[in-house]
Amino acid sequence: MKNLAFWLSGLLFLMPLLAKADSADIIRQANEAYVDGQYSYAIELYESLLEQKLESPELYYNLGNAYFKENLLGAAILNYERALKLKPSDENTLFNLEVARARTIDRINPVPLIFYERWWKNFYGMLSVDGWSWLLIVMLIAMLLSLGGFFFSRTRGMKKTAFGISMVFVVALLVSLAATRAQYHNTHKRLDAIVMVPRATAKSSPGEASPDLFVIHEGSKARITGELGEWYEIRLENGNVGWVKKSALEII
Amino acid sequence: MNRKALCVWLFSLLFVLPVSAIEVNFTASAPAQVAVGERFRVVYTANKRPASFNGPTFGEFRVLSGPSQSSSSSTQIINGKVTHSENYSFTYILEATREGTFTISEATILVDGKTISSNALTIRVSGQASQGASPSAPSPGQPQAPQVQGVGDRDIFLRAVVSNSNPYQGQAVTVTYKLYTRVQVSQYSIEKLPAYQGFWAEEVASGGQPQVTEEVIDGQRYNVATIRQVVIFPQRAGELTIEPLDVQTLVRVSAPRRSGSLIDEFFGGSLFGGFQNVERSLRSNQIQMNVRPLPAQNRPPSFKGMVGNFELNTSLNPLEVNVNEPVTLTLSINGSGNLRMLEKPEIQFPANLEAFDPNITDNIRVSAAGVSGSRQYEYLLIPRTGGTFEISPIQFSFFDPASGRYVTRSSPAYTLTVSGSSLAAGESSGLGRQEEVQYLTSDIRFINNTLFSLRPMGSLFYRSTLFYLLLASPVLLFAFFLVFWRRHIRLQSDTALLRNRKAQKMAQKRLKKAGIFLKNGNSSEFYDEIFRALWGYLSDKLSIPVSRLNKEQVSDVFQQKGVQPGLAAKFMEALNECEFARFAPGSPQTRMDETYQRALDTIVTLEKELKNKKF
Repeated sequence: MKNLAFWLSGLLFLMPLLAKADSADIIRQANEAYVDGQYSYAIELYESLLEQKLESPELYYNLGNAYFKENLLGAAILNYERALKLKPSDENTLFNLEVARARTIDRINPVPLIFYERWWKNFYGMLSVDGWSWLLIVMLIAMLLSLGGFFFSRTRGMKKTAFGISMVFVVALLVSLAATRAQYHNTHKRLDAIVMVPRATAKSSPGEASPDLFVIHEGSKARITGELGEWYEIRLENGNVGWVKKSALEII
Repeated sequence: MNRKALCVWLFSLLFVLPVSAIEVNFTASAPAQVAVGERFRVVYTANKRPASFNGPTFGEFRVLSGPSQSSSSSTQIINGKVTHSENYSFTYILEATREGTFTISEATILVDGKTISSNALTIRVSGQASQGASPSAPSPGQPQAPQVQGVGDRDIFLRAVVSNSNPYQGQAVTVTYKLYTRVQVSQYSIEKLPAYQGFWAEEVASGGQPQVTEEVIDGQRYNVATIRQVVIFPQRAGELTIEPLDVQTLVRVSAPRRSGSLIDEFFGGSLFGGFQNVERSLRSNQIQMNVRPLPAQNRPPSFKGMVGNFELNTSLNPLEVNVNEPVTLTLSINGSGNLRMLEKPEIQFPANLEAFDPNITDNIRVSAAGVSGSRQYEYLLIPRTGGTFEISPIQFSFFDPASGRYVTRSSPAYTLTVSGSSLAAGESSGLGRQEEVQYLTSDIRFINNTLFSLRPMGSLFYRSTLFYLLLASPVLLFAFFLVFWRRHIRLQSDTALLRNRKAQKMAQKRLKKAGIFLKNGNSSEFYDEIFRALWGYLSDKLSIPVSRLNKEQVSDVFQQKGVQPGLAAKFMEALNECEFARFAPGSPQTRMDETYQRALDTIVTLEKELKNKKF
């Protein structure tokens, strides 16, 4: 009985490893297909991994590249955005997203941010939510260690230094806590979508009969602010608001 | 012949006329045997003008037209004998609908108040005579060509033939329009060209007069003229239809007889216009095509939709030049296929090798076998710097429908050696280079070609249990450690205090024991106990373990604590005495008493002294 339990637990440990070997094989095949220029086959393989509910920034990045090569701009931009969500400051993804965006039809000029807003956005964008979370833990441990140094040091000079260091870590801890929350809100709380059809018409209210407000094209990004039946209320980066059919959009 | 005789002849003529009209003849004529679908004529002929005509019932035959009425009359004088004949005919055009032997009932006419019946007709209809060669069989939905008297639909028809009805997308297919005739066609003109929707069409140039061959269909000999040939390339996969072609023809037919004149019959009618040109509209059959899509598997990236069989020839001339001297890269694609749809090959020329738009030369022939020939691109290249330029192999792919797979032809890589200094006249150098950089960066970056690791979707470390655990555990650990440390310190100070307090009691206990040894006279045990009492007291009092105590330290500590130097000397003396006595046994009883008293005194005074000093 004990033996059986041992083997079962061993199997449980092996299972993820087996799955990993399998997916690694698919990744290799997909990458080879991409290198050979068989982009549609590469897309099929990458998508099969996503169907297994597996993800990684690299997977989204490669899939975006394959879609771009197949000239499917909407899908390419969608996957680049998804990659950035997991790895916000990946240079290659940012570059390719810029190239793909340059090919879209719409030029939506975002409302400019005030300099400190831009700094703050760039700052918390340096790490993903999980990256910030780990940093938070590291900061906390460092702060506690320095605080411990303060308590246990015997001489006055040592105590002073330890206190100064621990105060620095307290500030760093608070800053990274704020950045974690901001990044979490930016990537997981807010709903952004990409237009997946060549052109979508935004209506003034959710219904076919309502008047057209504006037209957005494939690859454009919009924030979802409301939902009703078959329709999403969207807000563009330039501030325009309208209702678009759900089928035209794909949430990042 | 004299004048009188002529008068008599004319007079007699007047009398002869009514006399010759004696018996009324009314007959029906039709072919005895026809085929299903064939059109034929049934003619009712009477030799006297009827007052009315009452047609027959045709039963299984379909009446296409009729009755059409015609009449003729003639007067003949042969060797002085005058005959006069009149001819009235009623013509039906019928079509046999099914196999069997059928009877057409008699028709009747009313002449001079009498009803005269014709003969009944028996016609045998034989089986399917001509399925393929019967475009006359009217297919539903297709407008019926107007019927021309004397020219059946089987006498002249138009057929469209395709060389391949199941081609691949982009594969060349030849459509041939053939005119089948059994009659003379004096002229034809194409009225309406099909739109060829979904196709790219190239007409085969015909050499003036169409070539005429003979073909036998169902035992019937036809003259066949190929009037038009078109090479088409399907542009999409799926079911495609080629619309029919409309042709207007001028057919020579023998004119319907207006008179039963012997002269006409004698001369066969041709001499005096017995033939007439009849306009006849023809329409070819509609063609259905099932176009196969090109396979998506193994499609090379350089494939741009070319289907056929091609060769790629390239040359770079010269291979060694000076800076700013032109070089020609010639790229020629020849073979058969949709050459006109060939896209300009994308060649990545190295930076600083200025390339102009290519000069394109076509040599394309369209024949019944398809479209073949060559297209040549001539690139003029001008190197703007010295050094070597690598022109990577140019790839050209096409789909070969014969083998059903993709073929890629590749040119060799060329190395161009340019001698001379760097960028000379700066007119096209500086700016051109910057543009080149921009051009090169308009493509995306390469994929991450590593075996990266994957994780379950939507798994977020932030706000997960592990996250909170890792956040809380250092804090708890810290707090626990802090509490533990505090307690430890307090505990430690407590034991020291206790020992300090109990030091005298311990010493008294040991001295009491030493007192017993004293009474017994056991000197070595006695000194041992005294020694231990002294050291133990000091150790407890100063919180220093016995193992770490030595004489030098003791005097140091005493000095530090501000104990009277005399007392310290006394203590040391007692210790020394004990140590000395321990190794020299057999000391007298009085000395032992003295030592005992001294140790007791020292401890009592030390106790007092240290208490005052508030240890």
